[in-house]
Amino acid sequence: MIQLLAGILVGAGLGFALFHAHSQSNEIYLASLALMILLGMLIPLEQLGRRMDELLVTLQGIKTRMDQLEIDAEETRDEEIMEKFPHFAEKEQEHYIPAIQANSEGRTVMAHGRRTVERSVEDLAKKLSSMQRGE
Amino acid sequence: MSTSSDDQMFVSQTAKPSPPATKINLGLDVGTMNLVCARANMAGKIEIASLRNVFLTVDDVNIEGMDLSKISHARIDDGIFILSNDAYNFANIFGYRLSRSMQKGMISPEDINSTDILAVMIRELLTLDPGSKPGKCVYSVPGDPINSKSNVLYHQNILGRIISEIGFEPEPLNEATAIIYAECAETDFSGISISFGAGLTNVAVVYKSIPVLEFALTRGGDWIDDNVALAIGTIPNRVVAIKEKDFYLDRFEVGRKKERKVREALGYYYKNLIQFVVKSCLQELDRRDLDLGFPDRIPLIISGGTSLAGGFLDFIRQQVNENAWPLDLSEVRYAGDPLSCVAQGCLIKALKQ
Repeated sequence: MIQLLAGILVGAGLGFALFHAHSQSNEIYLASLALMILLGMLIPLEQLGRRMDELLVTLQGIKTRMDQLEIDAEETRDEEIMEKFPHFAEKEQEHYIPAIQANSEGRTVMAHGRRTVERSVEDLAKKLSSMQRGE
Repeated sequence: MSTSSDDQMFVSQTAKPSPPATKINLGLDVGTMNLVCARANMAGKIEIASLRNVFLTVDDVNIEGMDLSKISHARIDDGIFILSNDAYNFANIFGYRLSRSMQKGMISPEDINSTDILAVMIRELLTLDPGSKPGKCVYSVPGDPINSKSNVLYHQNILGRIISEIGFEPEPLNEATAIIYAECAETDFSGISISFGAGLTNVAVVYKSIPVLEFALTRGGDWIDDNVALAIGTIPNRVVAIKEKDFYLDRFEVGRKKERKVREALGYYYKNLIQFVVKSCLQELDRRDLDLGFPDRIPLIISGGTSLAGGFLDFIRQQVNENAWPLDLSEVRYAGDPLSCVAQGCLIKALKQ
């Protein structure tokens, strides 16, 4: 704001000086008139700029609200899926353990979704091995 | 952490030698929306860890005065990137749009930092406990799309490079084939899988564990969201919010007028996607002129987040039944765990001797 006002004053001063120099006239009232015209142009522009700033803040608020709705929808999605497909829910909710991993190598913590699937994987791997060996 | 041989000799005089490090094999599902890692625990069960594959670009002004020590972030060159779940919270604070490191199943060409960000998140997910050393990491890749000019070569090689830099031995596996490995042990790893993801729909035909046909289609959940938003004159985020809120393919009369219109459009685009995928599968099976006279009936496995809409399985069954397939199908069913079955299939491949 202070910078804007300073800009207006400097602009007005420059306008006054330029007009005074080029008009080759000492009539002070013409120079004053130029200053008033300049101020008359700059003050509404400053007000318009302020209104634009307010509008941007309002738009930012709307965007923030929309993103919040999106986040809410994301958070509730998993629950809704689990309700619709209870056979998945039993396995996941029982073993879901949120965890935070420690910092290392210039990055910070990252939250993992962790859970355990009650299924023996060794037998499946052995079966796949024997299948691919043609046994 | 490993120590040098000199250090180990010194330690052996003063303390008991540490046990040999256990080699850990992993399965990694690299999806457009989620990164999922599967590993076998001491009891032989499968442990799943996942991260949302999203990030947010911020600058020093945005985070001035904030304590980043408890926030997932990475500094790459001169940029600061908030990662994964924390990115959602920061997007809310700053009113920014979330970015993805992947688009249409592959590394996004839109952000030059996509590869580095993906590398940070994969490194985090593949972190091993002390006393373990990296073994094999089988990671998922999509098939080459048959309805676009893109191919998977760059994406596959970049992921292989990232994983090998972490210390693992990388091995790519088609994501639809991984579903068969996870879901079809009882049919000797024979079946057809269709994975309806956010960016792509992947299809594989596997017989006795050998992939016979693998391909992808560049239509998925994002295609539905974008087209409904265009048709109704709204934004994709709003479509997603409605889609994920108790949506059924044939149930439009829910909510206010605008919501009902979105639901109706969603129904049309969902059905169009299913019809397109079934038709494309049949055309591709026909075009490849494969000998698909398998002696046994095989299952059709449906997976992926897009397939979880109400009525989806019924409609795809209807579409499958209305067409003559060159294969004898025993059933059309969901994967047991659609959120992790690709990572599980990769793990099974990684543990294979």
